[in-house]
Amino acid sequence: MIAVKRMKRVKPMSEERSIDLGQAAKGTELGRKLEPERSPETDKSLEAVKNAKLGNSTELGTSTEPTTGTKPITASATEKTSQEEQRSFPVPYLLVEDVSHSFDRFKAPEERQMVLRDIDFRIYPKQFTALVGESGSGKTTLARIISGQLRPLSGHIYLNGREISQLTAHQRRKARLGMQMVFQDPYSSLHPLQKIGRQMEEPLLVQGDFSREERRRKVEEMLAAVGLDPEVAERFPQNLSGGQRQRAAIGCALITRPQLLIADEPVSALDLSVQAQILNLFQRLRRDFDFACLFISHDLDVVRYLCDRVAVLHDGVIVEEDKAQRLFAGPRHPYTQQLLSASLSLED
Amino acid sequence: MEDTGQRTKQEHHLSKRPTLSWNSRRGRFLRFFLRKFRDVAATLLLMSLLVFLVFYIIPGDPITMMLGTDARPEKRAALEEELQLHQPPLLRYWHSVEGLWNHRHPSLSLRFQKPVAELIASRLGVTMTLAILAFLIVLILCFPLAILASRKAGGRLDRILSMGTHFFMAIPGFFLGILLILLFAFLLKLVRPGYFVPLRQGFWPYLGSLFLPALAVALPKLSQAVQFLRSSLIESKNEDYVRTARSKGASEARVLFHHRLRNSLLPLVTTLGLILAELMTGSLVVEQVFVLPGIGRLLFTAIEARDLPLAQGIILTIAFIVVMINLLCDLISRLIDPRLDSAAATGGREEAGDV
Amino acid sequence: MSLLSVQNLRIGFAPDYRSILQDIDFELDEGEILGLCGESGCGKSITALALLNLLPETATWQGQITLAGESLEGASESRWQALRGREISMIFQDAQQALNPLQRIGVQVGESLLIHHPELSARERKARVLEMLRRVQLDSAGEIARAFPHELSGGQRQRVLCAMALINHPKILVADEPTTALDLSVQEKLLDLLRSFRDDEGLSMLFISHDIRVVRKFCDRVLIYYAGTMVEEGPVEEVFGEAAHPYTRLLLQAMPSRSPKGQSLVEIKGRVPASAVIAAHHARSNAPCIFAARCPLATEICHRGEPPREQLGERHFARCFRARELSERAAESDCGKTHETGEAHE
Repeated sequence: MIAVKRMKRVKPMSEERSIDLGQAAKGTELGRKLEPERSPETDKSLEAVKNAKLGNSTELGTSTEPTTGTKPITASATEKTSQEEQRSFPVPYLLVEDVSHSFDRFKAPEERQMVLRDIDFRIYPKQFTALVGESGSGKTTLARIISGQLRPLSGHIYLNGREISQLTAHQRRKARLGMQMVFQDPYSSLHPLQKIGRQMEEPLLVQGDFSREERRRKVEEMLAAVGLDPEVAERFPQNLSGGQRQRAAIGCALITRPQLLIADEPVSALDLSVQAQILNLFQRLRRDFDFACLFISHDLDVVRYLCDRVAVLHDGVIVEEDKAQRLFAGPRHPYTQQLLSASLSLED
Repeated sequence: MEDTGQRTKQEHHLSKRPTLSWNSRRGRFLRFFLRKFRDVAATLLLMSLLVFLVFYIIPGDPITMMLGTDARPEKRAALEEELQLHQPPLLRYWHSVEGLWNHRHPSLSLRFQKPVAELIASRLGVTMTLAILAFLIVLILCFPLAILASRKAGGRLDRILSMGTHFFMAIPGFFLGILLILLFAFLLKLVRPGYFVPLRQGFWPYLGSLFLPALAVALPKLSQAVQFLRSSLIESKNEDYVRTARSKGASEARVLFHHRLRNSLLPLVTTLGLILAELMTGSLVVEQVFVLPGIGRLLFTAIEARDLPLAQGIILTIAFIVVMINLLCDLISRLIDPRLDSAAATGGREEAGDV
Repeated sequence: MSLLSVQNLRIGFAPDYRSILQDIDFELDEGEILGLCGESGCGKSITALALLNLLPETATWQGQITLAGESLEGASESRWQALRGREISMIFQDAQQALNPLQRIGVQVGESLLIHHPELSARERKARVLEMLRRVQLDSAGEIARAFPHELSGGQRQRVLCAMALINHPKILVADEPTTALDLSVQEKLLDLLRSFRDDEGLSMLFISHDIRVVRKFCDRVLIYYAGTMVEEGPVEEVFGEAAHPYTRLLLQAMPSRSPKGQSLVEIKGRVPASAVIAAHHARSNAPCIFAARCPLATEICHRGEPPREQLGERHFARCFRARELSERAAESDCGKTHETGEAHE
């Protein structure tokens, strides 16, 4: 009873728009960390420190492709955020700061095998950032940390100005209402025993108070938005095709209007023609719903088509992060170059 | 062929170099044994406590069982003194356990006034022989029957065997025993009914007298095993590695023995272990029908007479045997399936999945 | 004379055995890499299985399959067993499932030898297995041979499959999506490896993949499948360069690399028909073109009868009424323009 009452008073976070984040964040820990008026000198020295730290750690670890141990290349802070971005969105919606992780939590620090090392990156509102990496690079672990399934060994994750990685599971759940996830396998990511309509409704039940009428209306709207007939609400996942299922999964994720969508290889398991449909859907939804997206994929063609920024993950370290255009035009890190050459040869 | 509009998904596996040093394998086994030993001890301890507790709680007491409800208080007190029932419960508990192996001060059965260990020993042989005999029948017959049944699932032979297994699993044990006696003793006049031959009168007559009861016990268990193995085999037909073997040009026989059967062994080992354990605990019903001096009947008598020392002794013995069988199964499983080894070693934390 | 010749292949499934796959004709020459491209449910995997007579019990096939001059129609199972793993081999997509989890790698690779060369001693077998593992670039061959499948990485497992399939130096390798589950760099190495077998030993391959990009890079010729029919075939440059069938064209245009960022990708309206629909379609005597329902260039004639097999180049064919007309016209822009906003309601 008390829980219900409390929920009535709290406004669902996703209903707020992030435009005034700059103001809101000023007082928070995050706001203090990101002050657009830093001098170029402090930037440079910060970068130097960061690069030095990362430079040391790339010598560890067992990488299958021997990289020459060069420092990871990250665009300097001022380059990362263009002037326009800084003006309208001074604060990133998602900030991953110095996150490291190992599954050997209980071993001595020297003995641990690090799955992620000093991960730093940001996603600004409405931005599509790709996370590219091969198997074993740590991208799924990173996705799980960001989405709250795992607590990182060290580092912080800020969502909308709030630190969320070190919260308890309960607090985390509430704080993460602004983030949703879509998975790779359309077969297993939907509940096989629940109708699609019911599954799409569930996030609404968690999020807040909506009457049954409102919920039904929202589900109908969402079904239309993702290109599914309204009668699909009454069907079970196994009676849908892969493309339909993925649409449903996207609908379930977007129904609470999250500001960040994490998509883990959402089109990898789909045929080319269906993939095209889903990618077009992403474009459309992006326009209509205004969300940022962390798009994890190994398919560079898809990434190039859809994403604004690209972060390349190799052996637990982000070796290069840049605007998509720039990265594809001229990759700077040897690993990125390797990746691109492997895929470019499939091209025209 | 399904219209799904998609292809199968990507699999990402953590790259591991093969883990093959002998030392670590031996070390793992050692840790495994120590863990198991600890588990066995804990199980037996818990079991003994539970038995004692149950006896403490259930109504009735040995004195009443022996003297009747009308006995005079003096007689009761005297008997109590003699049976040492006036001792504090904890001490009685301890003695009921410790007296099993203490030769100078053995635990005495209240009912029979003989050392519990001796009583058990005299009866255990029969039960164990019966169990082993029955198990051999199950073991030897389940493979050919299951293979025949799985050859053409749904075919005539399969259906006949299926009916058979259902019949033997459904029929009550004592009734099956009676039917068998009817068939073999009276109709076919092959054996003499209800005539148990103790071991000292000759090994083969002994076995012979146990054959029919073993059959009565084995048939339902055999049915269970056959059903299980059959479905395991049918499933194995569609496994990818079976297809790979065929693509190498393997004959059906080779595919069956080297791939399908072998890979079905693992779950079968567990099932067979369960069956053996059940057999070992002694089938009370069969022992009654065939009038055999086995452990099942003894246990029943012990409970009826509220004879704690005897019951404790029997139950602990049975528990010990069952635990040992489980241990053996576990070991065999690990030998068969190398995956179990490494899963235990890493504590099952890291799966070979997305990283 | 070609090494492998398939004619009039049709495959049907229980209970009615109506054809899901029909009118498949193709040839494979020595040293040739033939690609088989198509989306899910189009019949490429069952074509591969039919070539080794490994279809599940619920399926039957008809047609002529001729391997090195020998007709295999109605061949006995023991004849097939003699051929499998010796003259023609197969590798599969999911290498982990394809390997027996309870047997060591060395044993599994050696099994091929054991079956076809029982005269070899255990020591000789072992030597050859190690040699083969090294050939497929699994350098710590001894360790790998003693390992179990779950201890290896995806790329390593796939190479083990190759070793198993090629240890008897067969003439033909059928590869069913071997690179699909692998990372890009691992994929490339595997393709290089397969190519080396072709270059060194004259191995011919039937390479199945849904990924056009890989097929274009790796194969000499390609067959394009749609819903159980072969809609286009020919040398890779011709089929992908001047695609004659609308389906091929659309597939090429649907690739994300073909559209500039921000612009909608070209979509193919509708969905691939379900197997039951395909079967019903093939059963009809005068069925229309199976792609007509989704084809942006379909005209009346397309709905009236089965399209003929038009020849567009020396070895380039397409099953389309308008194939010739299309190949003469400039290019892809026709197909593309009509489908930009693709709002596909399913």
